[in-house]
Amino acid sequence: MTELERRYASLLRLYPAAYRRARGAEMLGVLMDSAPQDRRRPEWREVRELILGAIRVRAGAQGRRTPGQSWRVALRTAALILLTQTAGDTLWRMMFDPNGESPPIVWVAASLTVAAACVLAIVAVFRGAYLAAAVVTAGAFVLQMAAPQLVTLSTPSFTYLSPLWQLPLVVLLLIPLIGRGTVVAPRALNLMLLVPVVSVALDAYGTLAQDPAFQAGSRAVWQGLAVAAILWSVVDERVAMAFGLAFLNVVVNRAMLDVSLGLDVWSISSPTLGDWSTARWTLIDMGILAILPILDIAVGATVAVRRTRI
Amino acid sequence: MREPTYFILAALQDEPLHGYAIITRAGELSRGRIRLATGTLYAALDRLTSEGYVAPTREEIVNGRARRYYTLTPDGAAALRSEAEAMAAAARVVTDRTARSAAPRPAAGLA
Repeated sequence: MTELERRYASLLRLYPAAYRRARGAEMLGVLMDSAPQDRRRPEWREVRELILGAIRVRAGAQGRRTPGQSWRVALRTAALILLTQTAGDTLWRMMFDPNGESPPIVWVAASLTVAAACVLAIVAVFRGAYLAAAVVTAGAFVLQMAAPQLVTLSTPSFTYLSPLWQLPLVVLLLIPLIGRGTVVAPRALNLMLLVPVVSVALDAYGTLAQDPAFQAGSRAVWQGLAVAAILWSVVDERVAMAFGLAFLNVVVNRAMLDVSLGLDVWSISSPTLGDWSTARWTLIDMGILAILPILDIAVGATVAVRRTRI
Repeated sequence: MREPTYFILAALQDEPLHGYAIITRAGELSRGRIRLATGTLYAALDRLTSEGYVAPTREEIVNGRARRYYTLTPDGAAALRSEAEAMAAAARVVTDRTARSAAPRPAAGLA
Protein backbone atom coordinates (compact mmCIF):
# COMPACT_ATOMS: atom_id res chain seq x y z
CA MET A 1 0.00 0.00 0.00
CA THR A 2 1.45 3.38 -1.01
CA GLU A 3 1.54 6.45 1.22
CA LEU A 4 -1.30 8.06 -0.76
CA GLU A 5 -3.43 4.92 -0.56
CA ARG A 6 -2.89 4.77 3.21
CA ARG A 7 -3.97 8.39 3.58
CA TYR A 8 -7.10 7.90 1.49
CA ALA A 9 -7.89 4.72 3.43
CA SER A 10 -7.67 6.62 6.72
CA LEU A 11 -10.01 9.30 5.33
CA LEU A 12 -12.50 6.61 4.30
CA ARG A 13 -12.53 5.44 7.92
CA LEU A 14 -14.60 8.57 8.63
CA TYR A 15 -17.55 6.77 7.02
CA PRO A 16 -19.60 4.34 9.16
CA ALA A 17 -18.37 0.73 9.09
CA ALA A 18 -21.43 -0.56 7.19
CA TYR A 19 -20.97 2.06 4.47
CA ARG A 20 -17.25 1.27 4.28
CA ARG A 21 -17.97 -2.42 3.83
CA ALA A 22 -20.35 -1.68 0.96
CA ARG A 23 -18.37 1.07 -0.80
CA GLY A 24 -14.93 1.44 0.80
CA ALA A 25 -12.78 -0.74 -1.47
CA GLU A 26 -14.51 0.60 -4.57
CA MET A 27 -14.08 4.25 -3.51
CA LEU A 28 -10.44 3.68 -2.67
CA GLY A 29 -9.97 2.22 -6.16
CA VAL A 30 -11.54 5.31 -7.76
CA LEU A 31 -9.47 7.68 -5.60
CA MET A 32 -6.27 5.89 -6.63
CA ASP A 33 -7.27 5.68 -10.30
CA SER A 34 -8.00 9.44 -10.29
CA ALA A 35 -4.66 10.39 -8.73
CA PRO A 36 -1.59 11.16 -10.88
CA GLN A 37 1.32 8.72 -10.46
CA ASP A 38 3.52 11.20 -8.60
CA ARG A 39 0.88 12.40 -6.10
CA ARG A 40 1.74 11.61 -2.48
CA ARG A 41 -0.84 13.66 -0.59
CA PRO A 42 -4.63 13.53 -1.10
CA GLU A 43 -6.09 16.27 -3.27
CA TRP A 44 -7.88 18.97 -1.22
CA ARG A 45 -11.21 18.78 -3.09
CA GLU A 46 -11.25 14.99 -2.62
CA VAL A 47 -10.55 15.42 1.11
CA ARG A 48 -13.29 18.04 1.46
CA GLU A 49 -15.92 15.93 -0.33
CA LEU A 50 -14.96 12.76 1.56
CA ILE A 51 -15.27 14.52 4.93
CA LEU A 52 -18.57 16.12 3.97
CA GLY A 53 -19.89 12.85 2.56
CA ALA A 54 -18.90 10.94 5.70
CA ILE A 55 -20.55 13.51 7.99
CA ARG A 56 -23.75 13.37 5.89
CA VAL A 57 -23.88 9.58 6.07
CA ARG A 58 -23.22 9.59 9.82
CA ALA A 59 -25.88 12.27 10.35
CA GLY A 60 -28.38 10.28 8.27
CA ALA A 61 -28.65 13.30 5.97
CA GLN A 62 -27.66 11.72 2.67
CA GLY A 63 -30.15 11.13 -0.12
CA ARG A 64 -32.99 13.04 -1.70
CA ARG A 65 -36.00 14.35 0.24
CA THR A 66 -38.90 16.64 -0.46
CA PRO A 67 -39.37 19.94 1.42
CA GLY A 68 -42.49 18.39 3.00
CA GLN A 69 -40.41 15.55 4.45
CA SER A 70 -37.83 18.02 5.78
CA TRP A 71 -40.53 20.17 7.38
CA ARG A 72 -42.14 17.18 9.10
CA VAL A 73 -38.82 16.08 10.60
CA ALA A 74 -38.13 19.67 11.70
CA LEU A 75 -41.58 20.07 13.31
CA ARG A 76 -41.20 16.77 15.18
CA THR A 77 -37.70 17.63 16.41
CA ALA A 78 -38.70 21.16 17.47
CA ALA A 79 -41.67 19.76 19.43
CA LEU A 80 -39.35 17.28 21.20
CA ILE A 81 -36.86 20.05 22.07
CA LEU A 82 -39.59 22.25 23.60
CA LEU A 83 -41.17 19.38 25.53
CA THR A 84 -37.76 18.48 26.99
CA GLN A 85 -37.13 22.13 27.84
CA THR A 86 -40.53 22.50 29.53
CA ALA A 87 -40.15 19.28 31.55
CA GLY A 88 -36.72 20.39 32.82
CA ASP A 89 -37.78 23.99 33.47
CA THR A 90 -40.90 22.94 35.37
CA LEU A 91 -38.93 20.58 37.61
CA TRP A 92 -36.26 23.02 38.73
CA ARG A 93 -38.62 25.99 39.06
CA MET A 94 -40.83 23.83 41.26
CA MET A 95 -38.00 23.56 43.78
CA PHE A 96 -36.98 27.19 43.63
CA ASP A 97 -38.49 29.91 45.76
CA PRO A 98 -36.84 33.33 45.80
CA ASN A 99 -37.60 33.71 49.54
CA GLY A 100 -36.22 30.29 50.43
CA GLU A 101 -39.59 28.93 51.57
CA SER A 102 -40.71 25.39 50.80
CA PRO A 103 -43.11 25.32 47.86
CA PRO A 104 -46.75 24.38 48.70
CA ILE A 105 -47.62 20.73 48.10
CA VAL A 106 -50.31 21.62 45.54
CA TRP A 107 -47.70 23.56 43.57
CA VAL A 108 -45.30 20.61 43.70
CA ALA A 109 -48.03 18.18 42.60
CA ALA A 110 -49.06 20.43 39.70
CA SER A 111 -45.46 20.89 38.59
CA LEU A 112 -44.73 17.16 38.73
CA THR A 113 -47.89 16.46 36.71
CA VAL A 114 -46.87 18.99 34.05
CA ALA A 115 -43.37 17.49 33.84
CA ALA A 116 -44.79 13.94 33.66
CA ALA A 117 -47.21 15.03 30.91
CA CYS A 118 -44.27 16.45 28.94
CA VAL A 119 -42.41 13.13 29.26
CA LEU A 120 -45.56 11.28 28.18
CA ALA A 121 -45.90 13.58 25.16
CA ILE A 122 -42.22 12.97 24.27
CA VAL A 123 -42.86 9.20 24.29
CA ALA A 124 -45.99 9.70 22.16
CA VAL A 125 -44.02 11.77 19.61
CA PHE A 126 -41.32 9.09 19.40
CA ARG A 127 -44.07 6.52 18.75
CA GLY A 128 -45.69 8.68 16.06
CA ALA A 129 -48.87 9.29 18.12
CA TYR A 130 -48.97 13.03 17.38
CA LEU A 131 -52.65 13.56 18.22
CA ALA A 132 -52.17 11.95 21.66
CA ALA A 133 -49.03 14.06 22.18
CA ALA A 134 -50.91 17.26 21.27
CA VAL A 135 -53.82 16.42 23.61
CA VAL A 136 -51.49 15.62 26.53
CA THR A 137 -49.50 18.81 25.86
CA ALA A 138 -52.67 20.90 25.77
CA GLY A 139 -53.73 19.33 29.08
CA ALA A 140 -50.36 20.16 30.62
CA PHE A 141 -50.73 23.76 29.45
CA VAL A 142 -54.17 24.08 31.07
CA LEU A 143 -52.68 22.80 34.33
CA GLN A 144 -49.74 25.20 33.98
CA MET A 145 -52.22 28.08 33.60
CA ALA A 146 -54.37 26.92 36.50
CA ALA A 147 -51.57 26.11 38.97
CA PRO A 148 -50.86 29.71 40.08
CA GLN A 149 -54.57 30.12 40.89
CA LEU A 150 -54.49 27.07 43.17
CA VAL A 151 -51.79 28.35 45.50
CA THR A 152 -50.50 31.60 46.88
CA LEU A 153 -46.82 31.85 46.19
CA SER A 154 -44.64 34.10 48.28
CA THR A 155 -43.61 35.91 45.10
CA PRO A 156 -46.59 35.95 42.71
CA SER A 157 -44.64 37.51 39.83
CA PHE A 158 -42.33 34.51 39.91
CA THR A 159 -44.90 32.48 38.01
CA TYR A 160 -44.42 34.82 35.06
CA LEU A 161 -40.83 33.68 34.83
CA SER A 162 -41.96 30.19 33.86
CA PRO A 163 -41.73 29.52 30.13
CA LEU A 164 -45.51 29.29 30.02
CA TRP A 165 -46.11 29.62 26.28
CA GLN A 166 -43.85 26.82 25.06
CA LEU A 167 -46.59 24.22 25.32
CA PRO A 168 -49.10 25.99 23.02
CA LEU A 169 -46.23 26.32 20.52
CA VAL A 170 -45.64 22.54 20.80
CA VAL A 171 -49.32 21.91 20.02
CA LEU A 172 -49.05 24.17 16.95
CA LEU A 173 -45.92 22.28 15.82
CA LEU A 174 -47.64 18.90 16.23
CA ILE A 175 -50.87 19.75 14.39
CA PRO A 176 -49.39 19.49 10.85
CA LEU A 177 -48.05 16.00 11.72
CA ILE A 178 -51.42 14.55 12.74
CA GLY A 179 -52.85 11.95 10.37
CA ARG A 180 -49.84 11.88 8.04
CA GLY A 181 -48.11 8.76 9.33
CA THR A 182 -45.01 8.43 11.46
CA VAL A 183 -42.18 10.80 10.64
CA VAL A 184 -38.96 8.94 9.88
CA ALA A 185 -36.14 10.99 11.38
CA PRO A 186 -32.46 10.07 11.58
CA ARG A 187 -31.31 9.10 15.07
CA ALA A 188 -28.57 11.70 14.98
CA LEU A 189 -31.23 14.44 15.19
CA ASN A 190 -32.20 13.17 18.65
CA LEU A 191 -28.86 14.59 19.84
CA MET A 192 -30.56 17.99 19.54
CA LEU A 193 -32.43 17.12 22.74
CA LEU A 194 -29.15 17.76 24.58
CA VAL A 195 -29.60 21.47 23.82
CA PRO A 196 -32.56 22.01 26.20
CA VAL A 197 -30.91 19.75 28.79
CA VAL A 198 -27.74 21.88 28.84
CA SER A 199 -29.72 25.13 28.62
CA VAL A 200 -32.01 24.19 31.53
CA ALA A 201 -29.06 23.00 33.62
CA LEU A 202 -27.23 26.33 33.13
CA ASP A 203 -30.38 28.32 33.78
CA ALA A 204 -31.19 26.37 36.95
CA TYR A 205 -27.67 26.51 38.33
CA GLY A 206 -27.39 30.22 37.51
CA THR A 207 -30.63 31.00 39.36
CA LEU A 208 -29.95 28.78 42.36
CA ALA A 209 -26.35 29.98 42.70
CA GLN A 210 -27.49 33.53 41.91
CA ASP A 211 -24.80 33.75 39.26
CA PRO A 212 -26.15 35.53 36.17
CA ALA A 213 -23.18 34.29 34.12
CA PHE A 214 -24.79 30.85 33.91
CA GLN A 215 -28.11 32.30 32.75
CA ALA A 216 -26.20 34.27 30.13
CA GLY A 217 -24.52 30.95 29.25
CA SER A 218 -27.94 29.38 28.72
CA ARG A 219 -28.87 32.14 26.28
CA ALA A 220 -25.46 31.83 24.61
CA VAL A 221 -26.06 28.10 24.08
CA TRP A 222 -29.21 28.86 22.10
CA GLN A 223 -27.74 31.76 20.18
CA GLY A 224 -24.46 30.01 19.41
CA LEU A 225 -26.18 26.86 18.29
CA ALA A 226 -28.66 28.84 16.19
CA VAL A 227 -25.70 30.23 14.24
CA ALA A 228 -24.03 26.80 14.10
CA ALA A 229 -27.28 25.28 12.81
CA ILE A 230 -27.23 27.67 9.84
CA LEU A 231 -23.70 26.51 8.97
CA TRP A 232 -24.75 22.87 9.52
CA SER A 233 -27.29 23.27 6.67
CA VAL A 234 -24.46 22.22 4.37
CA VAL A 235 -24.85 18.80 6.00
CA ASP A 236 -28.50 18.71 7.12
CA GLU A 237 -30.91 21.60 6.66
CA ARG A 238 -33.47 20.05 9.00
CA VAL A 239 -31.34 20.97 12.02
CA ALA A 240 -31.60 24.70 11.20
CA MET A 241 -35.34 24.39 10.54
CA ALA A 242 -35.94 22.53 13.82
CA PHE A 243 -33.74 24.88 15.78
CA GLY A 244 -35.43 27.96 14.32
CA LEU A 245 -38.90 26.60 15.11
CA ALA A 246 -37.91 25.70 18.68
CA PHE A 247 -36.10 29.02 19.18
CA LEU A 248 -39.33 30.85 18.33
CA ASN A 249 -40.41 30.02 21.88
CA VAL A 250 -38.10 32.76 23.14
CA VAL A 251 -39.96 35.32 21.02
CA VAL A 252 -43.39 33.95 21.97
CA ASN A 253 -42.55 33.87 25.68
CA ARG A 254 -41.10 37.37 25.55
CA ALA A 255 -44.22 38.72 23.82
CA MET A 256 -46.60 36.99 26.22
CA LEU A 257 -44.53 38.06 29.23
CA ASP A 258 -44.84 41.68 28.12
CA VAL A 259 -48.56 41.27 27.59
CA SER A 260 -49.03 39.59 30.98
CA LEU A 261 -47.06 42.33 32.72
CA GLY A 262 -49.50 44.79 31.25
CA LEU A 263 -47.34 46.53 28.70
CA ASP A 264 -49.35 48.08 25.92
CA VAL A 265 -47.48 46.28 23.18
CA TRP A 266 -50.22 45.80 20.67
CA SER A 267 -51.90 49.22 20.57
CA ILE A 268 -49.16 50.98 18.67
CA SER A 269 -51.63 52.87 16.46
CA SER A 270 -53.03 54.92 19.35
CA PRO A 271 -50.41 54.96 22.03
CA THR A 272 -50.13 57.35 24.89
CA LEU A 273 -46.74 58.99 25.09
CA GLY A 274 -45.37 56.69 27.81
CA ASP A 275 -46.75 53.49 26.35
CA TRP A 276 -45.40 54.34 22.94
CA SER A 277 -41.85 54.35 24.23
CA THR A 278 -42.23 51.06 26.11
CA ALA A 279 -44.05 49.39 23.25
CA ARG A 280 -41.54 50.55 20.70
CA TRP A 281 -38.57 49.21 22.62
CA THR A 282 -40.38 45.96 23.36
CA LEU A 283 -41.10 45.43 19.68
CA ILE A 284 -37.51 46.27 18.75
CA ASP A 285 -36.32 43.81 21.40
CA MET A 286 -38.64 41.11 20.06
CA GLY A 287 -37.50 41.88 16.51
CA ILE A 288 -33.87 41.32 17.52
CA LEU A 289 -34.84 38.11 19.31
CA ALA A 290 -36.67 36.89 16.21
CA ILE A 291 -33.75 37.46 13.81
CA LEU A 292 -31.88 34.24 14.57
CA PRO A 293 -34.87 31.84 14.55
CA ILE A 294 -36.22 33.36 11.35
CA LEU A 295 -32.78 33.19 9.74
CA ASP A 296 -32.51 29.52 10.77
CA ILE A 297 -35.91 28.69 9.31
CA ALA A 298 -35.29 30.68 6.11
CA VAL A 299 -31.87 29.14 5.40
CA GLY A 300 -33.10 25.62 6.25
CA ALA A 301 -36.22 25.97 4.08
CA THR A 302 -34.18 27.31 1.14
CA VAL A 303 -31.73 24.40 1.31
CA ALA A 304 -34.67 21.98 1.68
CA VAL A 305 -36.07 23.16 -1.66
CA ARG A 306 -32.67 22.63 -3.29
CA ARG A 307 -32.43 19.12 -1.84
CA THR A 308 -35.46 18.10 -3.91
CA ARG A 309 -33.28 18.10 -7.02
CA ILE A 310 -31.73 14.71 -7.60
CA MET B 1 -31.82 17.70 -11.80
CA ARG B 2 -28.36 18.87 -10.68
CA GLU B 3 -25.79 19.29 -13.46
CA PRO B 4 -23.35 16.64 -12.12
CA THR B 5 -26.25 14.15 -11.87
CA TYR B 6 -27.26 14.91 -15.46
CA PHE B 7 -23.77 14.15 -16.75
CA ILE B 8 -23.45 11.01 -14.61
CA LEU B 9 -26.64 9.65 -16.19
CA ALA B 10 -25.48 10.82 -19.63
CA ALA B 11 -22.17 8.99 -19.11
CA LEU B 12 -24.07 5.73 -18.60
CA GLN B 13 -26.20 6.03 -21.75
CA ASP B 14 -24.09 3.76 -23.94
CA GLU B 15 -22.79 1.10 -21.58
CA PRO B 16 -22.33 0.23 -17.90
CA LEU B 17 -19.27 1.97 -16.41
CA HIS B 18 -17.27 1.77 -13.17
CA GLY B 19 -16.72 4.78 -10.90
CA TYR B 20 -13.51 6.12 -12.40
CA ALA B 21 -14.86 5.66 -15.96
CA ILE B 22 -18.01 7.62 -15.00
CA ILE B 23 -15.83 10.51 -13.74
CA THR B 24 -13.79 10.50 -16.95
CA ARG B 25 -16.80 10.19 -19.29
CA ALA B 26 -18.80 12.89 -17.45
CA GLY B 27 -15.78 15.19 -17.77
CA GLU B 28 -15.57 14.52 -21.53
CA LEU B 29 -19.31 15.00 -22.14
CA SER B 30 -19.35 18.28 -20.22
CA ARG B 31 -16.18 19.44 -22.05
CA GLY B 32 -14.26 19.56 -18.79
CA ARG B 33 -16.84 21.59 -16.84
CA ILE B 34 -17.84 18.72 -14.53
CA ARG B 35 -14.89 17.43 -12.53
CA LEU B 36 -16.42 15.01 -10.07
CA ALA B 37 -14.70 14.33 -6.76
CA THR B 38 -15.02 10.72 -5.59
CA GLY B 39 -17.12 11.75 -2.56
CA THR B 40 -19.50 13.69 -4.83
CA LEU B 41 -19.77 10.78 -7.28
CA TYR B 42 -20.70 8.27 -4.61
CA ALA B 43 -23.19 10.61 -2.92
CA ALA B 44 -24.84 11.00 -6.34
CA LEU B 45 -24.71 7.26 -7.04
CA ASP B 46 -26.38 6.62 -3.63
CA ARG B 47 -29.20 9.02 -4.55
CA LEU B 48 -29.57 7.62 -8.07
CA THR B 49 -29.55 4.01 -6.85
CA SER B 50 -32.19 4.69 -4.20
CA GLU B 51 -34.37 6.46 -6.82
CA GLY B 52 -33.97 3.45 -9.15
CA TYR B 53 -32.28 5.49 -11.90
CA VAL B 54 -29.02 3.54 -11.73
CA ALA B 55 -28.26 -0.05 -10.71
CA PRO B 56 -25.00 -1.85 -9.97
CA THR B 57 -24.36 -4.66 -12.45
CA ARG B 58 -21.09 -6.51 -11.85
CA GLU B 59 -17.88 -6.29 -9.83
CA GLU B 60 -14.31 -7.10 -10.76
CA ILE B 61 -10.79 -6.70 -9.40
CA VAL B 62 -8.32 -4.91 -11.68
CA ASN B 63 -4.71 -4.48 -10.54
CA GLY B 64 -5.81 -5.33 -7.02
CA ARG B 65 -8.49 -2.62 -7.00
CA ALA B 66 -12.21 -3.26 -6.66
CA ARG B 67 -14.45 -2.00 -9.44
CA ARG B 68 -18.22 -2.00 -9.53
CA TYR B 69 -20.08 -1.26 -12.74
CA TYR B 70 -23.27 0.80 -12.87
CA THR B 71 -25.94 0.78 -15.54
CA LEU B 72 -28.73 3.18 -16.46
CA THR B 73 -32.19 1.75 -15.70
CA PRO B 74 -35.24 2.46 -17.93
CA ASP B 75 -36.46 4.95 -15.28
CA GLY B 76 -33.06 6.64 -15.31
CA ALA B 77 -33.07 6.82 -19.11
CA ALA B 78 -36.57 8.35 -19.07
CA ALA B 79 -35.57 10.94 -16.44
CA LEU B 80 -32.46 11.84 -18.45
CA ARG B 81 -34.45 12.21 -21.69
CA SER B 82 -37.10 14.31 -19.95
CA GLU B 83 -34.43 16.61 -18.51
CA ALA B 84 -32.70 16.91 -21.89
CA GLU B 85 -36.00 17.78 -23.61
CA ALA B 86 -36.78 20.41 -20.98
CA MET B 87 -33.34 21.98 -21.44
CA ALA B 88 -33.66 21.83 -25.26
CA ALA B 89 -37.08 23.53 -25.08
CA ALA B 90 -35.62 26.22 -22.81
CA ALA B 91 -32.70 26.70 -25.22
CA ARG B 92 -35.09 27.02 -28.20
CA VAL B 93 -36.72 30.03 -26.54
CA VAL B 94 -33.46 31.87 -27.18
CA THR B 95 -32.03 30.15 -30.27
CA ASP B 96 -35.27 30.41 -32.32
CA ARG B 97 -35.53 34.12 -31.54
CA THR B 98 -31.88 34.65 -32.49
CA ALA B 99 -32.44 32.78 -35.78
CA ARG B 100 -35.57 34.86 -36.56
CA SER B 101 -33.80 38.15 -35.91
CA ALA B 102 -30.85 37.04 -38.07
CA ALA B 103 -33.10 36.13 -41.07
CA PRO B 104 -33.40 38.88 -43.79
CA ARG B 105 -36.63 40.88 -43.41
CA PRO B 106 -38.83 41.54 -46.48
CA ALA B 107 -38.40 45.06 -47.76
CA ALA B 108 -41.10 47.48 -46.61
CA GLY B 109 -43.86 48.32 -49.14
CA LEU B 110 -43.39 45.21 -51.33
CA ALA B 111 -46.29 43.26 -49.81
